[in-house]
Amino acid sequence: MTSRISYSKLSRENRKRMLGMTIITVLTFFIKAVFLVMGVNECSSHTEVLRLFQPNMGMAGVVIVLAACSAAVSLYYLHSRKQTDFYESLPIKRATLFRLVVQNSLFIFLIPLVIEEAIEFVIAQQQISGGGWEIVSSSLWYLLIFAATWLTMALAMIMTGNIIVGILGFGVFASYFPIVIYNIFPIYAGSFFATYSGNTADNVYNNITSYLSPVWVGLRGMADINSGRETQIKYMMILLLWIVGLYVLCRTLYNRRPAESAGRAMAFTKANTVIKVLLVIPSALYSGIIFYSLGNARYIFWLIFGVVFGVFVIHALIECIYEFDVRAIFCHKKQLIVIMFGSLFIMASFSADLFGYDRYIPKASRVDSIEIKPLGVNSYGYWGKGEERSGLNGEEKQLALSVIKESVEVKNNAETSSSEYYEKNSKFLFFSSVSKKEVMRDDIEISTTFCMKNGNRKVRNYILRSQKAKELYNKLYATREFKKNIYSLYTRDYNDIKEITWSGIETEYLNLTKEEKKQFLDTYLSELDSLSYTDVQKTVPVGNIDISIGGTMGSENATQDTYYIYPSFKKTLAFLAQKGCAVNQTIDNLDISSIGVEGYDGSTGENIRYGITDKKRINKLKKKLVLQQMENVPGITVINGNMEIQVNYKNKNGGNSIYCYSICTDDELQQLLKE
Amino acid sequence: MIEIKKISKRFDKIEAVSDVSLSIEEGQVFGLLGTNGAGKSTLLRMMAGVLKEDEGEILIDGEAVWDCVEAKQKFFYISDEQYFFPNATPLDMAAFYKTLYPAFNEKRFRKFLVKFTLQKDRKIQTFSKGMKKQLSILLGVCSGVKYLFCDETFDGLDPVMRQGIKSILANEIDERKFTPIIASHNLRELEDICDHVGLLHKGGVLLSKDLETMKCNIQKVQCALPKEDDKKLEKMFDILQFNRRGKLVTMTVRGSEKQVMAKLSVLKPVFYECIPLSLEEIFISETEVVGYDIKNLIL
Repeated sequence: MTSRISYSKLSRENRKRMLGMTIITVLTFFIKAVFLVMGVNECSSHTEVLRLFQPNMGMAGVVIVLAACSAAVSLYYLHSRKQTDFYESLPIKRATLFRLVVQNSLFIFLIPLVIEEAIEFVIAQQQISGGGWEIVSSSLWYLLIFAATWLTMALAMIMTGNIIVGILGFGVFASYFPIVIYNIFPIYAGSFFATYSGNTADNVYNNITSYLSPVWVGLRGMADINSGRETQIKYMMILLLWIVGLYVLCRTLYNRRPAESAGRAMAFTKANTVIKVLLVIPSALYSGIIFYSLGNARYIFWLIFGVVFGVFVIHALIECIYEFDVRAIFCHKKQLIVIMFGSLFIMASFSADLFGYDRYIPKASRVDSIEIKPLGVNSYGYWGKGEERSGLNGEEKQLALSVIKESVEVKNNAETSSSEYYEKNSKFLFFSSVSKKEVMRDDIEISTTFCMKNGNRKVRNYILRSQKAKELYNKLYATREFKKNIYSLYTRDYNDIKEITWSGIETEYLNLTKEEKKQFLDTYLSELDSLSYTDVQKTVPVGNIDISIGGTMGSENATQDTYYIYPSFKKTLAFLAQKGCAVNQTIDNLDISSIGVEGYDGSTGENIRYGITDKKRINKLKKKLVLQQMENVPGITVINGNMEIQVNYKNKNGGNSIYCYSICTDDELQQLLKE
Repeated sequence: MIEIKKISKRFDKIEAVSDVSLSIEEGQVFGLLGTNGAGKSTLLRMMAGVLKEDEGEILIDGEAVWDCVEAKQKFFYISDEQYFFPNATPLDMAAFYKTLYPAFNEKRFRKFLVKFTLQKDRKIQTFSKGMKKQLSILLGVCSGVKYLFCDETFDGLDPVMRQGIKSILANEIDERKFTPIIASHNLRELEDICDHVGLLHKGGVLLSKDLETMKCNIQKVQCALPKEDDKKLEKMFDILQFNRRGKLVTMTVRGSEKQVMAKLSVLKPVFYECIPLSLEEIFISETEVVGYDIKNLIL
């Protein structure tokens, strides 16, 4: 065993060889400190200064490059026969040598990092008397990202015998799951599954793949820097697990690595086939989708062509890299054929829906509840605290399932698609999937989540006939159960609501006691219970209330929900009126002094500006205006969102302005403006 | 003592070393001879713990070499292309080796540098190939190890340097049972330094013998016989090589000088004498027997 004394001397000797990396690392942190000082001088507020001390993606990118270079430099000897002979013949255990290299690389990074962060701490204390958590968390993030990247590159260097192949390997390890694999399913599902919803939050596949690269986990954790300490700590723990796992894997492989692989493409030839399969199949699938897209997504033939072409080319390329010989493209023909069939099978599982993704409707007995995303109804929204969304049960669930089942089935030829796509590709669409069903002009798409009894969630989008969809929503919307899924206010803890404001023509802050708040919100919800789906589609709200959760409006941890007040909400309006809100004020009954219109006219291609003061014209125009805050209300169609319309009116305080959109056609608006 | 027991090593489909067994005693110079591709370097790299054997084991003083610090501290390996740290000087390398070989004698090393006119503060990357080899040997000798593995190390040295190094090695052997193992195909170099020779061919051991014993058991004879009876000669002697020019026969045969002369005298030759064989001639004779015909290669 190398003694402790000689280990420390050896460590020192190794650090002497890493002088170049040491200088680059020190220089990097020196420049970072200089940029910080320059940034602090430019800041004008506490928040801006504080933001400078937070970890940022730019620096994370620099750390990744530093780490990759450090690992490549430290382990380059594995790729040189001369150096391998030298190091492997020395009286040092392999495990010791590896540990030494890892420690020194971390040490060379850590010392300048700590010094630079100490300088930042001093500056932070002088400038804002704070920023401690930001500085500590940024140090931790950079260190974790460095370690994760270093070990990923080390794995690539250990598994290969050539630096170019090693760099390629690093790229594959870092991006394979979070980019290559992560995107295949959504791209193919989005292209071929009519019921695919693209909802990645509920997609187990997407959730898992995004954690399968330590570099990606680090970047993702940093990107969510404002999502709270708990989330940050969660990411850090995952990254730490990755680091420990990678270290153990690297050390094991390092100990087993044959020295004769120096100079070859791959060090562990037994892994070659596995790596080849993992690279060729996804690459071929991407090739397929590229050719399919180039054919305007009209012919599945081009998809098949692309997959076959991709298999040939990528397989050949990998064989060339393995053997460093162009003639090697003709090696392993049997493997090529097997991979070809595998790729085509996976492709067909999407294009021909072999596994019935589109035909999927679970049995009622297996479904705990169904969440249906409201159609034509604004849904609010923040489900952080309070009761979780529970979905539809009982009769509503049965109703939803039967309507959905009807939407999927193709009962007779009359329902079979007459689209050009189906005609040209019918022989590739093996099963009676949704792609075969004729889509009518008024059909409506609804988003459905099946919450299974085993805890899984499956999301699908179904196309319903317009009539069926409206019948379904009319029935569902009449139930409180359905509304609880749409409006989080039903299950919100009122103590979390810190502020409520009324927004109509004017905005008023509601100064309410705890009891008044409860009374007001209970009243609102009871009137919301009575609101029908038809009302929502056809009625323009009088105004809306904005509630701030978790803090006052605009504060760092606060979120905001908006709830519309409809004319039928008499008690709610009475309450607001009692609190001094001008609930009866509308655009129509305002004493308007002028209307200014400014914006881009699409028909002429010019910027326009109008000022209208004539009362007759004002009276005509105001009937075609809605408040900007009503832009997303169902039943209101904002024709021209590019036109900014400022309405100036007189009130008890002298005057005020509101901003509106028009709901008339462009021609009508032009006529009104030019009269 | 180094024991190599049934060692085999394969690189993909190529069997570089096949079932090799050797014993290397302490205190002697062991020459590892071999044809091109015989497996000399591979065997040395396995002995140095660089490559792991597929089968068999290599023991140095009873300890397996692979990833064993104690075993590795007993030898110093000089590769055919020795690696030095970039921008390092001889003293830098000495300082490095001192951390790993506690018995490294830095004083002696400095003296050797002076003796061999190698500048201690000059960057090694500016040295010639021969100077680098000299330096490697000096580092190995001064490391205080028992065994020195040299892979074609002597090839780049000039004759004067070669003699200097040989004398150092001889001193070391005398003083402390130092054991150099030298791989080479330069037979002339090994002839006057090796005590024991191992001959490798196509991954296997052709022979492993004491040099003097080997020389004793093969004779090169020139004779002129009254009758040209080659068949009789074939029956009488174990002939390795045979050449006739008219009446004059030159043949390489197995056996001691005494035995060969006695047999020849029975044939009443007009003229006969034993000619000293060089190691090269022994080598060629031995390899020709197994089909490695050097003449075919020249053609």
